[in-house]
Amino acid sequence: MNSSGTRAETYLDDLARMLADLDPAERDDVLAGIREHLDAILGEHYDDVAAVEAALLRIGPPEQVAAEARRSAASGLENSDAVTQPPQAAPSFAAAPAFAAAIWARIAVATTLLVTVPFLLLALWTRASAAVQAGGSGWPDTVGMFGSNGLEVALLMALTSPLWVIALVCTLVAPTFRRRTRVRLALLGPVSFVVAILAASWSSPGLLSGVVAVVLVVATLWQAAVIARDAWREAG
Amino acid sequence: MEPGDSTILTHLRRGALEHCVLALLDGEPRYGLDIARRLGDDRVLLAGEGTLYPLLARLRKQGLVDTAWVESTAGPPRRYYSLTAEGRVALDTFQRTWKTFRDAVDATLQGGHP
Repeated sequence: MNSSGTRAETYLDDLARMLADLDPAERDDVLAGIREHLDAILGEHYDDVAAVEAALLRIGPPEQVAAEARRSAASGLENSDAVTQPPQAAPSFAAAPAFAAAIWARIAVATTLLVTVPFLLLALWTRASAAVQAGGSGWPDTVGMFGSNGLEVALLMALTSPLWVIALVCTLVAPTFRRRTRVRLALLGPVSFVVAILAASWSSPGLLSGVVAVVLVVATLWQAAVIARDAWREAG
Repeated sequence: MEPGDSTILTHLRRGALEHCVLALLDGEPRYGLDIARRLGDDRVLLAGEGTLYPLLARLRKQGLVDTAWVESTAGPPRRYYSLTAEGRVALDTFQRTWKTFRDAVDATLQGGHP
């Protein structure tokens, strides 16, 4: 993460600690608001540390925001009758869009990981089994659980493709993702599919293909972790 | 500002600031950074821009504002705040009573000078 993003995350972490005793829903609301404020600043001044520092000065110290959050929580309880009485359903309607937005995003991350990580690991295991069976002297004709090069990987991925469709739909629908995160998460499925098939099937020349396959799988797993972390944070 | 002003301002903001936020949303939805900038960085209406967000959370909980996500070309999607029907009633009520209250305070303060 760039340094201006790190500075923003540090502020949010400090604020989250100071709000730890607040009602979780209220705490999440305040943190989400500040995060969106900082995202808007970062959108205007990407990687401009000075601009982010100036914005954090204008936002005020986290202690001040936390104090205001406690005052608001207390006055919210006192003033529930002071202004107009809203209809009983209104608060839940108002909260539903933000809650639903987070759910779409979290399902997108979870299902994408489900349809990528197990198959990448399976491809790696298939590769390792092949190396053990071959004793280092070349790729055997049959390898893996069902006796075909990489076929079981492809079959299992085809069986779970409905889950990938769910992952893709949630990724495209979730409103809180940045465009870059949405694209990276959507591409993770197809890229993992290609890498897993390649790693489990590519067999010549033996040692070079083995090394390249392992490197590709590990790199894809690492990217999956990074993309999932970023997307989970943006879920809101 | 002089020492002690901040304490007085904290008290004065209560009740008035939330209606200033509602007034800013009268006519068009706005996102958080836009509202914070319009309330000014002179530290009169807002002690710090961050104190806006607990207030917005409370207004949403009370049903006075609603929110919606909108895609932005300048970065991540933005949450826009808009006035609900109940928020408009609250704003209209405040606008009716604020002038009377302000005039009464001004008259008393002026009457207090020799």
